[in-house]
Amino acid sequence: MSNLNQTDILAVVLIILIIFLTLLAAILAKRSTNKPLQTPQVFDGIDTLMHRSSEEGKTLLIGLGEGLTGLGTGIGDTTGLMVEQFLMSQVVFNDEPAHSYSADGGLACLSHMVVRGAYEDAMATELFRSDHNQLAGPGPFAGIAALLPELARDDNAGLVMVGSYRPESILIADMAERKNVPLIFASGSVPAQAAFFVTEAEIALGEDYYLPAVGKSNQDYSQVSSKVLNWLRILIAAALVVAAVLKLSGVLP
Amino acid sequence: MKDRQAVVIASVSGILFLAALFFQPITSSYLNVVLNWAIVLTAITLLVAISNLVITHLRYIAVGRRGFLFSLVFITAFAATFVFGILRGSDDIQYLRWIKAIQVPLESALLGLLALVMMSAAIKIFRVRGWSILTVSFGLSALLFLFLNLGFLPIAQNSTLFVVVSTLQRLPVVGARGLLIGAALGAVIAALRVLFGQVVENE
Repeated sequence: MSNLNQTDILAVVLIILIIFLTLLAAILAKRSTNKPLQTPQVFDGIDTLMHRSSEEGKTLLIGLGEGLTGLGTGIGDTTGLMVEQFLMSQVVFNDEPAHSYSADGGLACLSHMVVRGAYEDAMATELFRSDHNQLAGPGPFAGIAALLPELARDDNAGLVMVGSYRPESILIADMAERKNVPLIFASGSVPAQAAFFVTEAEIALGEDYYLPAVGKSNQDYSQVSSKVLNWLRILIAAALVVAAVLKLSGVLP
Repeated sequence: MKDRQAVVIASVSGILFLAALFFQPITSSYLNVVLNWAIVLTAITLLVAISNLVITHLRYIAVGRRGFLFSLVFITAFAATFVFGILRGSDDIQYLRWIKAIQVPLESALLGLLALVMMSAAIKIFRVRGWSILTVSFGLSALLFLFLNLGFLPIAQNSTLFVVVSTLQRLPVVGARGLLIGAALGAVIAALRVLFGQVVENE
């Protein structure tokens, strides 16, 4: 039989708890008449950029980060792909198509499929070109170096960076500020969030990154996820307080 | 139906892999096989992505797109690195020296630039984000921990100071743990959504 240690058992319990809470939230969401939770401001900003791209006929740039199969591995980094899927479906018929850049081979291939799918769904495959989606480089620094010259062009409506990033990517934010290109940044990396906090970019703090509730779409999923996150936060905070009290009172070793 | 098949296959594979992770002694051989597949697949995806990149830049050169000179530089550098690497092998000392001679100064310059950008951004924070509890505490804590980590304080001679500084130095770890717990929960929920095929549906 397997020799699961305490951490493994806790992880299993947590995953089962999350699945249970997600189901519960989904059931309650159908019955509840409560006001829906608000979309994080950063994702409203994406909506604004999308409209700006359509109205001004400028290119919207999407940075998907360096995650998934390279050094910065994490399945949570597929959040960028969800945002890309939504964005691409809205800007297919724009004068200037959106361009996305990934600093990872696997991510670039998945992103290629997402972009192609958006054009197929819109029955406009003749408008699809492979350069709408590109590999920015096989690593984080190559990714930064590739994104900088694209950002330096004059015809950019904005840049949306969603994915796994390092604090060094602040160079992109600096270029965006100097070129007056609005930048939206959402990453699961805490150091990257701290680095981008000091820039003019609109950023998602903490776990807001994992709520890709762009516009009015995807509302059910994001509502359920937000509620589950809130419940888990309360549960974990309560557990931590109880554990601290038990530890201080000498019950826990 | 075709879409659902892919989602079902991906979900079942993901759930099986997740379960296998918790039963490692029994499932180790299975996990190794899957890991090897993942490594091969990752290498192939990189190859596909690079091919796409090269084709795209060749097209830019062919149509004379604005800024095609950058594409020319990219293609030349890529071809030279690739051909030399194939001919001499990636372990060749001369080849490695050649790569280092280009890459090390480039990365050093980039990091130097980064230090300047970070410093100027830190100074600009109050102009950009305004004066709020968040920005003031961010700025003050950055300054405080920079000062503490410089090592100027004689903490070894003074036991009270040692306790105070040690306690203060634990604070960033406490804050980071709080943020990481939140981020980890978000990551698990996002991962489960992918695993169970809850894809985004557009209006």
